[in-house]
Amino acid sequence: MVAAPIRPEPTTTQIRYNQVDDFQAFRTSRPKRVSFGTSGTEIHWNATNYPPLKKQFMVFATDNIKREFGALVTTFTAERMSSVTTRLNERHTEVVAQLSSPALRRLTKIAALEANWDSEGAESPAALAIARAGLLIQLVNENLASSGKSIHPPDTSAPLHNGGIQLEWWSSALDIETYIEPNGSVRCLFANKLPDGAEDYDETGDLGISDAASEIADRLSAE
Amino acid sequence: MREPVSERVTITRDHFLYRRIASFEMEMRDGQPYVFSSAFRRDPDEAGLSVYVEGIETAEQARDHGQPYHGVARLSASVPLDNNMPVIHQPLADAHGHAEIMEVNGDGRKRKLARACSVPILPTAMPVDSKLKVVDLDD
Repeated sequence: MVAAPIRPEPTTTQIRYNQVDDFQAFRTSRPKRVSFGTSGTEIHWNATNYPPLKKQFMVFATDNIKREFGALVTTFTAERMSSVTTRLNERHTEVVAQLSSPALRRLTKIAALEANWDSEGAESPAALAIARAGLLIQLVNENLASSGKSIHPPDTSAPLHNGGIQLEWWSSALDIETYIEPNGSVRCLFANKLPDGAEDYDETGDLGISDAASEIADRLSAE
Repeated sequence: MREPVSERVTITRDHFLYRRIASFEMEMRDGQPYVFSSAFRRDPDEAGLSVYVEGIETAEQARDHGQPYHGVARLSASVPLDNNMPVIHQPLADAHGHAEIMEVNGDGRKRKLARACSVPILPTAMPVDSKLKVVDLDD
């Protein structure tokens, strides 16, 4: 009888923070696989995009986020990858349900766009913008949940010509547009709907991602 | 009726303008076309936002300056003109109806233009062969 191979259990304590130089490479490399959800965002890079690492992905975990980088970078050897993915799937059953949302599916497709997606020289969405979008979605939902409100994933999204991401939240009294630039900066536009059908705008300057999430959640909570 | 193009036309509130849009620059919202404000971004190296003047060009001609899968949004020139965004007719050799909306500064102005649009020609999906696999976490 052949003994079953021993698989070492991956743990979150194996997560290490990436060097700044390494992270710069992530910002320009094309992700191989992107999955969005309300509890986390998973982005896989092909080993050929970044040869020093066997496998690599960025995971936004609900319980542990390093906000100055916007993500944790985890390195696993190939033999651990399948078991880690399984564990993520087990924990993220809520994520699977949310992936059925047309809005999140659209965002996933946007993340997959190639350069020149508009035939007019548009950039492909930057990895950092994708990562920040996923983080912002998560933080908004965390803020809503902490105040006893229902979570509210973005209602739609759009790519920006320069490689950024635009997220939108809609409600009966308010539309919120959030622009995530390729360099990771975030700003918001709050379009308050007036009785005559017109809109009144509040525009922010660049915000920290936590402040943006807090502001968005506050505005949605006020409904 | 096509207007003569040997001279520049003064754009007034009575004119309508066409803006070419890509498939990801709009979607359907409650059964109606919803144009994103991102469709009105201005290229950093351009002074204004390119549009085409209805009456000098048709919507199909405006689309054909781009790709067959592009769509066309339509808005009244009164929207930019009433919001401090001049519209200047800038005819080109191959686009007599070309004009530019100037002073499209700030996110609010882009949204105001986008919210005023109808979409007489819907974009279709750009034919691409994406090498990026998009999967659910269950895969």
